Amino acid sequence: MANGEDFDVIVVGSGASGGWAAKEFCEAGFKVLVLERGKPTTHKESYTEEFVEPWDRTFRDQAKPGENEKTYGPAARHIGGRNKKFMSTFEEAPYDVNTKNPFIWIRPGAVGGKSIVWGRQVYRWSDLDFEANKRDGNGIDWPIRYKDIAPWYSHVEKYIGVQGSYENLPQLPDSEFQPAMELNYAEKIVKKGIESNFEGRNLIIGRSANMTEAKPDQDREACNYRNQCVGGCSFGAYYSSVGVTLPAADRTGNLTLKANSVVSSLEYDAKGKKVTGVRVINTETKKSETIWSRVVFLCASTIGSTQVLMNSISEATPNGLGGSSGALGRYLMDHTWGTRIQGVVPDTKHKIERGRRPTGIYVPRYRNINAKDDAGVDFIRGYNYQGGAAPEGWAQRAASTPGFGASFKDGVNTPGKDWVFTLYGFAECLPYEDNKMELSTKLDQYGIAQVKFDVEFKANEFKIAKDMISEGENMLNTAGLRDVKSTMGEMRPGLGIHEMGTARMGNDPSNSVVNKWNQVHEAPNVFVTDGACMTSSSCVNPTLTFMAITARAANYAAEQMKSGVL
Amino acid sequence: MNKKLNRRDILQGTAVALGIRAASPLFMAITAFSSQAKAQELTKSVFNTSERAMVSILAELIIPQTDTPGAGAAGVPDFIDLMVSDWYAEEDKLNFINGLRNLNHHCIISFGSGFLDCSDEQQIISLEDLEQNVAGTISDGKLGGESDRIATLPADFALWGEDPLEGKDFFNQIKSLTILGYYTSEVGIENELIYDPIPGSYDGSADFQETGKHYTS
Repeated sequence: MANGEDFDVIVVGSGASGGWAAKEFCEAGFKVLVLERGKPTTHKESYTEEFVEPWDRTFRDQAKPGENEKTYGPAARHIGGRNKKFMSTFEEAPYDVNTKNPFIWIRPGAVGGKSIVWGRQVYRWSDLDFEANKRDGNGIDWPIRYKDIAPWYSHVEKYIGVQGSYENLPQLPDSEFQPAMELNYAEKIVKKGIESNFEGRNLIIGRSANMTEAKPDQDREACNYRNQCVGGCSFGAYYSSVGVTLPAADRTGNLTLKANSVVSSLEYDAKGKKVTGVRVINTETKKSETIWSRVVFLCASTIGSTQVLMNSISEATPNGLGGSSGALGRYLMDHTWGTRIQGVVPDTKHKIERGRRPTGIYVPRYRNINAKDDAGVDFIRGYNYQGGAAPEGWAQRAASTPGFGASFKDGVNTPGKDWVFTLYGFAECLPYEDNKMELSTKLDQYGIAQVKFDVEFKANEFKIAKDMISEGENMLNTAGLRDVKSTMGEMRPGLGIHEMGTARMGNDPSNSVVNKWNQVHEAPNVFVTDGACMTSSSCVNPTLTFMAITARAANYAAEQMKSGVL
Repeated sequence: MNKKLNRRDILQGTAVALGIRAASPLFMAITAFSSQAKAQELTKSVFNTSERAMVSILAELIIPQTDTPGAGAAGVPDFIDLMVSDWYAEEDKLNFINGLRNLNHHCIISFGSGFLDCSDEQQIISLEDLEQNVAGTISDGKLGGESDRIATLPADFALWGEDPLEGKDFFNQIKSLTILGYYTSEVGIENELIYDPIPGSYDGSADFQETGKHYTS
């Protein structure tokens, strides 16, 4: 360390993004400290739910009524079963829910962050996304384009392993794929039905960070089709930071990883225009300390990273670090959640699945790409669908077989009814200035100001939801499915768990928090590279983009450090 | 009793079939699985002796021994006891116990003796009545039957409180618990389903006919 710092780089947060920052810096020869507020996790050893027989599972995996709500608060509907041990209880990681337009904040509680329990869907953004703000005037223009990030998409994909099919779609660029997982019997029927009737609409396998080919150099096996990912995978067959990037960082000998370490704020040196220290509280001893480094990477999640910036209050930064822009905490986005369209695929009941595929299907965006297809469209931006087809298994057979006795028992072991195919819509959310998080007067148990939210979907998102329902029904009906029906769940921001924004990227320090290299304008040695930096939300799943942006920023920072600029 | 499923055999069989390297994570996983905790023990049963006996008979009526073992051999009565005593919310617990009492009473007014003292056939009829939601009236002794004499006896119903919930809810409770208990038990899975903890590959177009059974989820 050049000037008596404790570390070259401190990475706050150990999830998908933090893992990538750690790997890139460690491999470049820098001494890295990763701080994680959650409990320790060890790859393989911590996956204690993995090899428990069904009959040995606590209450046979049934969540005790009311217990999750009590323990996990508003996030309970996404928490339960095998992901539980990696999540935070509401008491451990509270936020102020006493607000008019709440945001459901789903918070992990262990090393690995949400990357252990995520849905593993990975899709590249395109210039349709990076140019969207500029095109329709919502938000500010992204200072980067697809060409800036494309090499970093490749860099990340080749390492983590992504399965998917090459489709050559301009709105959804192909990744560096391992062989694709297979569409199932009913999905192939629906694919044919949609693609032969709707020009420009496709049904493809859901691209995911599940490997179909082993990576022996990383000690990782190909997927064994258990679909138990969210409890952790000892085969290392999907990307989590715990199973992939943190071990890679550790192999260099340059990594120090501290769990149970909450970062409360950053110490700012206004004269030097840089952050000098990271204030950390040990969650077990409650002791606090300040740790020094040349560079800080905030990868604590969209809301977590901005909470640290907002709490970094000093004379020079009365509204938090990055607060002078007026953009800090604002433009919070999430993809819509809750639209579901279902139908029955005829003549499929004789088929079943062998193996449990850990991904679904994907219908890429088709709206507002070619003007000629969009007669009557009354919204901007677009949406995609994710979902899949599934046969009836023993549980559905048992539930729909009346009576009891030998005839009931025989009834369970008969083929199910025809398969049900489901689409879930994911819509892009515009960046709205008044969709915001701010500091609450309530403190958590470590004395850190909690955050509270004022966030709602607005007219454009609701118009998209309406189109997702009507076009979803139209496609399934046209494809020949029976009993097509839809439901609209609660469209509450946060439930998509694709939160983005609040420290957005831009060229102008007066309306953005970080520059095109993710450096905070007011403190270039602080980088925000998780979802907080996002200037718009696209409609595609964002984690791959967080990882690519992080790797890009880390390599830039490493160069700047080597040349002495940072 | 069927031979017990040996998880290690299954996993090693899978590993060999897949040609997995001996130093691979799969083999490490095989050595890791064996030391897992057993399912939790019941703290304190909410049932008295006769209620518990009723539960055992009802579970076996719902999933009887045929050419494969029934609910009793699969440990379902213990499972139901655990779920009702330690897992159910208070309201559901109450409904379950009221349901047992209601059924017992239905047997008394229909057949002249409590559920446990009824003949096998009468027990089946009473359970059928419960599913048809006619428990509480006088049974005509036929499956799903209901006597013309619709003579509910208010004095007798006071036994289980002011507002007994309908019998069908209880039927659904005990049927669901029996299904869950049986098809997630070692015995039930081994005999009625295909247990495939590590499939190793995926076939999205398999024929049900080839297996004749569903896979565990």
